[in-house]
Amino acid sequence: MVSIFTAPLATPAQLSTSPSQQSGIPESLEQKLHLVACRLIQAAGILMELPQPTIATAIVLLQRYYLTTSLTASPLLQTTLASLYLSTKLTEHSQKPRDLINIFKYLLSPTSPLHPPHLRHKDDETTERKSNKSLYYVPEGDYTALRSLLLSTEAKILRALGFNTTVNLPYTLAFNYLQSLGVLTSTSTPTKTPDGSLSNPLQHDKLVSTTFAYLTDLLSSPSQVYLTHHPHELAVAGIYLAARDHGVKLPERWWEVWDVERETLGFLVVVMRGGTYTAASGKVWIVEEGVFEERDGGEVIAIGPDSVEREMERLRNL
Amino acid sequence: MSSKPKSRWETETAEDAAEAARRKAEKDAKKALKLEKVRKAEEEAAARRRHEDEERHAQSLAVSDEPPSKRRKVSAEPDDDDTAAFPRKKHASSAAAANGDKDTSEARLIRFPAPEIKPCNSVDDYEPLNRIEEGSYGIVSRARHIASGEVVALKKLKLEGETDGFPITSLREIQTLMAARHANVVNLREVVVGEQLNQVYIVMDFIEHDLKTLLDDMPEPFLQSEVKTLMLQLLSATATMHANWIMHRDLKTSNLLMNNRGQIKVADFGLARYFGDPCLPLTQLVVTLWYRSPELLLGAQKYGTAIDVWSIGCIFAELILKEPLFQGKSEIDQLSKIFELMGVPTDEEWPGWRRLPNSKSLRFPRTKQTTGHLLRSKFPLLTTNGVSLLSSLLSLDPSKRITAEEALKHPYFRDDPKPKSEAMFPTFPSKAGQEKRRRLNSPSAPMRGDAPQLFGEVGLAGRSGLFAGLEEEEVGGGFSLKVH
Repeated sequence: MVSIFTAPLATPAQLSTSPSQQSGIPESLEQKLHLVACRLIQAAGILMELPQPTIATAIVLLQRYYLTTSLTASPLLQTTLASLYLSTKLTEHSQKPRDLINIFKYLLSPTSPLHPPHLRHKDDETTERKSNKSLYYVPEGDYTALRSLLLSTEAKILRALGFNTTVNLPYTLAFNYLQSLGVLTSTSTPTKTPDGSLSNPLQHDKLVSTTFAYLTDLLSSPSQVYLTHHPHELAVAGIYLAARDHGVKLPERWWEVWDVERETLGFLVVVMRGGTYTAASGKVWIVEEGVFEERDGGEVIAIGPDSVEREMERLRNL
Repeated sequence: MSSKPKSRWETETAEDAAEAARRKAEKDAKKALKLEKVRKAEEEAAARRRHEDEERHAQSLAVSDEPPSKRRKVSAEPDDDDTAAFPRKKHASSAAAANGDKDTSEARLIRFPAPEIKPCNSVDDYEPLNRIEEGSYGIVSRARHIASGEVVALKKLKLEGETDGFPITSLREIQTLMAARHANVVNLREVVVGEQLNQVYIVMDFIEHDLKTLLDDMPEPFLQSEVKTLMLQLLSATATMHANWIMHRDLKTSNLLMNNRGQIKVADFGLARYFGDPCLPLTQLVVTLWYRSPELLLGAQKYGTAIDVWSIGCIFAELILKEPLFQGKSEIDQLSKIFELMGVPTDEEWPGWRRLPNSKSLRFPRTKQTTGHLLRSKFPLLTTNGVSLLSSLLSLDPSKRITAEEALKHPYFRDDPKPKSEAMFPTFPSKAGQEKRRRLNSPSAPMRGDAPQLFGEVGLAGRSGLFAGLEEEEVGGGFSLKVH
């Protein structure tokens, strides 16, 4: 019964000593790479029409894995692939490694919306680019190599987590709490309030989606609160902000009903308000191998181990 | 000593008195020493606690770039420094007064435990003792934890032929076993690994017997009071699993382990999985044939926890009979045996059963004599409530089948004889502990592959004279049925 409320959490020692930082990756670079991993998983999940719990599970597994393993020991691409593959199995939405590899190849190709626009060659304009399948075609040799990397990384993730793959997500709890708070009156019987602010059933739908949006944003927050807080605490924080956004009044100290301290709630609200990691203007582009740079109001992040190595070198020499 | 009556051998002397006094003094000194020790231990513990608190505090200061709420608290009492740092806004007293609510004090919040994220230990922590059993899903052996000396059961997962990474069935097995914590579910201690990536072992408590071997070897079946205790344990474990959205899908006596303290433990979650509501189409290749429910045999793609309850019904009967209730040789023979005892369902008893995939291609004899169950005559010594429980566990229509939760409250368990206390159970020599187990003469759990298509005629021989001799009749192409 208690099991849906608890999550394996990181210890303070684990949080203060990140293996990636110990292997020489500066914190800022680590945060960028974590963000990119979340973006890639989220994008791949959407393209594969996977449900959000599958995507969120993959991200949480990845974050837990990088608590114990360095980004240099387990490069980003194979780890994102493996954690998404594992999560599709765990959430009973099994996918083939082939499909995952194809999708990631597309996401990292110049045709992908994640690709920085200034790196797209001007000469291969839309028509030619569409026909140029080689941009996101995976040769058999590459596929076999990546597939075996994916499978061995999957085994490593399982070992690093002690096979404790339970990921309890706050989404269902949040919905349940919203129902219990009585702010989700069903569409069939809209409440008639004199000012009419609450009578619109659509507003309640928005309350749910805003809550869920906050919870999803938190997944890619650099604070990694999914590693430090239990799902009920995240759910309450999501509801708190969504209710404030939509001007829905909730009873006094309602969060205590779900065993959340005001202090914890306050912290999570600050984290949520702080938003995700953002570059100068907020746009993040992803390439497989390339140069880390900030231009055109965005930031290019490369995930390949060689590029990461070069960036580490550059940051060391700064 | 002084109260002892004087015997005629006694020669009361000063020496004796002195000796007695000396002994008493010795005893007192020992007692005082012991008390002192206890007091010291307490003091030490207190000091350690203080030290830990300080350490915790220091740690929180050390990671002071982390906000304070990240610190996990294990104790329920509010921390003083916390309340000082973040003075809680008290209730608006007016609101509280308006509600007539006296409780303006701090609400007591539950703190949830948080397991750590830590890597697997090595299998080298264990020293192998003897092999217990080899099944389709792995090899189980007995081993000793070298550090603690505890004897455990080690199940090596078969991962050699896997092409798609870690098999989803093993993932489910570990996940469900971790989630289904119950006194009557075998305790998963940890998962350990070997050098190679495909060496994965599940470490469980070692339990002396399995119920199947025990039933085979017992000279007398379990007493009614013992059956009740075992059934209550099985039902309560199953109810907990179902409440946690876990279906076991392979309940049978050889998967029920029993220790020498009168407890059974549900084991082997190799086919278990999470289910949802509404249920999704799932594989029909679950549950060992003899314990498989009629809806599965008839090819239902959507099924639920009722399949576990059917298996429990079969186990209940087996505890009484000392042998499996329906020992079918094939899917179709299994159905015949079920309908022979439980009757061919009528459309009122089980609406829609004729529309199940395999039911269309089967012909069933249907007369008055073939409907209704014959449990009363099969179990002449079972009480009325016992028969009533068995018939509701073995209800043909899955939607009318009793749930594990309801079955726990069945009057059968309140009848005399009352369930026997676990402590009063007899003990038996453990086969698994010493010798290689006998190969069991029961069909094994279904393997992955295509679900069988059933066709032919369901014979109900032995039910009445009308159907005697059905087995001698020629059966059309395909395969012939052998029923007895």
